[in-house]
Amino acid sequence: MGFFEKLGQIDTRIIYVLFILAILIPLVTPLGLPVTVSQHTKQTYEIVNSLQPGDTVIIDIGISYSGAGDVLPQTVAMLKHLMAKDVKVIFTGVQMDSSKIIEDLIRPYEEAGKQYGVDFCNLGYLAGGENAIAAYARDLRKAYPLDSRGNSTDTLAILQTVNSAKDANMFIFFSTQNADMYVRQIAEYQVPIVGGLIATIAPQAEPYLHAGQLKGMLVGLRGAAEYETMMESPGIGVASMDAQSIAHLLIIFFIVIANISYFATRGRTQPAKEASQ
Amino acid sequence: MKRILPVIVSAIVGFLLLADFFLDIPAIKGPAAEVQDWGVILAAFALALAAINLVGFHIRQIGRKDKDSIHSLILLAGLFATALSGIFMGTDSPVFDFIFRSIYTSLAAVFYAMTAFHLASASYRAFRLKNPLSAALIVSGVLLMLGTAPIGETIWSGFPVIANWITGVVNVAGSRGILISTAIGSVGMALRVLTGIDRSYLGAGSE
Amino acid sequence: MSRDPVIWVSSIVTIIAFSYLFKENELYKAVEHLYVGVAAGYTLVMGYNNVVSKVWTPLTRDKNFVVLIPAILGLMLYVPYISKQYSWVKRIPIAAIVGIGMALTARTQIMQQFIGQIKATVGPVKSINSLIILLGTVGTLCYFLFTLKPSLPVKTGSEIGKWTIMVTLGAAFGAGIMGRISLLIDRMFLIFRDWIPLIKVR
Repeated sequence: MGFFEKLGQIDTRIIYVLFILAILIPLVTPLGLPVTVSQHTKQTYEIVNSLQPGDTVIIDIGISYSGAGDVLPQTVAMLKHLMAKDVKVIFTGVQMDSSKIIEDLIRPYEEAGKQYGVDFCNLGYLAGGENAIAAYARDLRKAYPLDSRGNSTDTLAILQTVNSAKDANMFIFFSTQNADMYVRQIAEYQVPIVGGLIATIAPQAEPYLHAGQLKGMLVGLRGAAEYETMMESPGIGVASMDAQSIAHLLIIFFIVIANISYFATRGRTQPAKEASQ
Repeated sequence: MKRILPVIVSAIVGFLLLADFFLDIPAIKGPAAEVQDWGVILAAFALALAAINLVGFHIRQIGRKDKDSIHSLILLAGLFATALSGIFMGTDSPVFDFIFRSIYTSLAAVFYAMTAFHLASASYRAFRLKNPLSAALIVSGVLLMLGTAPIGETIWSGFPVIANWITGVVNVAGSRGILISTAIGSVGMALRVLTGIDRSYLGAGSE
Repeated sequence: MSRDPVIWVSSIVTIIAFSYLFKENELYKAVEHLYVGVAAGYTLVMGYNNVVSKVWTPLTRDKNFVVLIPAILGLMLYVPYISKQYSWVKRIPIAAIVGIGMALTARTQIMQQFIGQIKATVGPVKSINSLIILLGTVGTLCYFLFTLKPSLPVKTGSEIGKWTIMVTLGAAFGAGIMGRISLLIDRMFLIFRDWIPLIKVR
């Protein structure tokens, strides 16, 4: 087998090992590549920054653990921003993993002195997907008679002034599924909608951002890195960018050598085909 | 009755919700909100269906006593341990928390993360510039990767600009066309289901 | 190395799951089945919690007996497990779920996905980018028109649509790669930061 043919038939296991190393080595020995902030993130940061102390936002944690690695860092960064501004947060969720994820998010703030039921509350998972969003957007206390800790929602102070999406100052969602159902069900309440999405589905949500139906959008781990940069509080997002860079370069390298092999060997197989015809 | 009653139920709840949205009739707001809430309750009841089917299947599998029976036993052990600890001890209990964090969260993440390897391998094996259209796909993907990773900007400051143009202009056009098309299709499908023309969702023998 | 048993078990099952990439093996199958079982068990727990919140609490706390209607409908889903003769009864709650879901989605799709997106497309063409978006969107729609006679405008639009869709798919591919690499990075943090402290980032 010639060199160019071998180039196009590298063992899959070698590709996997190289891929692991491309991610691991930059994590262990960071390159320190600078992260510049995109217009999407600037826009999102500015709209969240426009909230005032005492404002209330509804955050839907539509994150499943399968995609949490890409979206959770954004959630952590944005929640830090909101807590620093003393914005109150009502957490809802349409993914089964929502309740646990929300508890992990709010625990550090509760330990730091924020009051559950006043500064935030965890309404937890509501079954039904888009139907659940429609139900709680209309009437939070009716959709959630109990919060995820078993408290009656009638007793939570934060829900006395905000009982539907129209009462909130902003609706924020973080999703590993899609943005469509949030835009569809929340748009009628005329409240600004901001989304944090897994990178895989972010391109499909761009039309909503372009049309103004979404006022801001964070895209994947890069979005988290940029938000952390805007907050001047680097975390997991920034730390992951070097590994992301090298892994991207490796995949581009694979595509390039595969095509070099394809074009180099195509001339040899075509005359053989013509001869056989 | 077996065939017509489900269709009538679907039509009543569906058209009630449509009327609530498009017409301003105060008398239907209350019933519509109630029906919307019922949808959530029904979804909650439906959650157990998959688990029950799984239990039945794997009990039969264990009964066969073949080489896969041990895996079925492991599955059922995990299922009952999680369900019983979660329901009777609560989701905050140490037992449930341990199972949830050590098994569920890590494996949920890993099975999706594995697709990264498959994508890497697939892009090496399948992405060939065979014709102009495939070249457009591959080149736009590569430019996006270079534009979104910080190293791309380090190599050339134009990569993020191109990537933003691809996602913010061309991708918007394509995704928007797809969004509008799916909206038309979904609305058509919804009307066919609500009027009883399409009953395939009811399963075999529903025609 | 970490002393947390959760980190140990998570890391070990993660490595066993990754072993599938090199060769399918019995340990991987065991871990896969364990995950499916735990996930199904978790679904049961969430279903139970939702039923307690949405049915039991309104019934006992608020004396709201109207919730008995959806509760009975929900229980009808399980009739096939009790009686084959009346198994058709499960179609009623299924029809209700489908009817509610379809109506909720369709009514808002018309406003947001259809009218909202068309409004954003046909606004005044202020720049070359707006023109590209207009032509690309119309082209993509033309590409999906299979029931119209392929006249010259439709064919031209369809050709523009093809190229637009290809670039869109390329963008989706690039974004997909980015998303999945992030998930892998997250697993690396588990194994090489939380378990074996090679990565120093917090």
